[in-house]
Amino acid sequence: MILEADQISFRYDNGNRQILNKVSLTVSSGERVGLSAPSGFGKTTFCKILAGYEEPDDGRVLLDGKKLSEYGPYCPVQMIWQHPELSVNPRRKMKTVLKEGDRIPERVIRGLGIEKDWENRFPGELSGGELQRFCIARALGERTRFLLADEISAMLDLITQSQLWNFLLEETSSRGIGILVVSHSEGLLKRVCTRQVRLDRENGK
Amino acid sequence: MNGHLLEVKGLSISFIQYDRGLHQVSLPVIRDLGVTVDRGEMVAVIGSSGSGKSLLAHAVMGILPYNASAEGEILYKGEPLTEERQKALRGKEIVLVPQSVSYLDPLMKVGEQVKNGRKGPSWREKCRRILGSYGLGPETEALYPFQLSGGMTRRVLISAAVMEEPELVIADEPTPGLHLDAAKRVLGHFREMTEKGAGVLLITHDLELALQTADRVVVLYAGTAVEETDSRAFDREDTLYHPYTRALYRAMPEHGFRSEPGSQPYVKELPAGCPYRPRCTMALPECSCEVPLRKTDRGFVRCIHREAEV
Repeated sequence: MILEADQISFRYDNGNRQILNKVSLTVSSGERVGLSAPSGFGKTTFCKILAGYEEPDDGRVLLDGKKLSEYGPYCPVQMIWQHPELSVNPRRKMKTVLKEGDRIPERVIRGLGIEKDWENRFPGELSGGELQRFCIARALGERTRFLLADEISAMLDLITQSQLWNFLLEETSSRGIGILVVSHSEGLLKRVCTRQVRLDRENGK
Repeated sequence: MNGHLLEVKGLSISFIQYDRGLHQVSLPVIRDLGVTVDRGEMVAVIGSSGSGKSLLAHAVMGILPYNASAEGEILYKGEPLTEERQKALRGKEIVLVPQSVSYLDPLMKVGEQVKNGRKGPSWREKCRRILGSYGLGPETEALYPFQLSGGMTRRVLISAAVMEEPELVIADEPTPGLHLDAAKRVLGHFREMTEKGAGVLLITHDLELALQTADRVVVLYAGTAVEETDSRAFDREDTLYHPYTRALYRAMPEHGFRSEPGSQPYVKELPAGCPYRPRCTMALPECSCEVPLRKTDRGFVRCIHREAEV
């Protein structure tokens, strides 16, 4: 499958603040594409558009030539967010986070090192690294074909970072999932990506 | 003047938090932390997010939230940093570069905030020069905080801190939201300040960035300082002494990207003794008792194996 962003433009503030201007990018199944761009470029917004959370002002997102909305209730493009503590409901136990996903294989949950006992806790009772494991599991449902990883490990210690990435590399290559990896860390992108894309004001805008 | 510019001894910070209903629990976020900063030196404290490292900055500045309590000693220029001294010195000799953009006044223009109430052409000139050195033009002065991007806000916060020519800078996560070049430039500015004789305490989660700029590194694991060493010790694995620091070394993308199983414990379930014990391959029954600090040739380490090795 091919996930394609075609000439995406986006503005905030009722069109007053342009953040993305005709950005194009393709990711194929099994590919790991590293994306780096200066702060304020709109990397998170770009991921949100690719995952169908936002509509671009101009341009199209196509998955094998079809719009995301044609793929039924479960979006095959899933996003993992930068701040795990902000992407779960603080008042619900962690097992509901797993239920929010689409039939998550037991292999994924165990592979991420999620302990049975954590599922009965509230988000405030877990560390950032533990929370992020749940958020990654949630995005890896059976029907997921593409993952968008928006700085998913920047705030974690390096051991946790390498744990999560080593798992993701194995899981995505065995299932042929394509990933877009957004990160500021040169070393990480070099290590995990099959291809790197650097966007800046000149060629992105 | 002799002695350290800043010396933190045996600092423990705990938080009172509501558990269920009216039941309160005390969370020990930082336990027995010691760190020193000398003039002309940049010391980095490394810990992952949520490990409570911002509280160290807040304890030194005297701005801990009401539900946090601190124990231990903080000395500035060899004398205890009392509440009165904190009030007199903060914002002048000791400045904080805060972590979040919410530290700016939303109703005040940026230029006024950087000048901090001082008037006159010489201050205006200085303000403009400092903002300019961070790549912010004079038009920035007339903007309100909501009109700035994340990276711009961070540069404004740093500009406000350096207006004073401080002797001690405490930088709490000054780099997230900045791309690599901008982050390096910011740390380069801190480096210049140390060359003029100031001390910098850098609190961050980014080990790689810290190793590039800091002189010494204190590694926190679940709120406990497990090792203090100089940055060059991270060039090789055998100059690091704590099993956690060595595991960190091996997990760096350029050193193999290998991971160890397990995760950092949440503060409510800290094991007794060494917090790394459940994941440590060298753990012994003695590790569950209080582990004292041991001196090394490069700093200190909190591990019982150190003695056997020396």
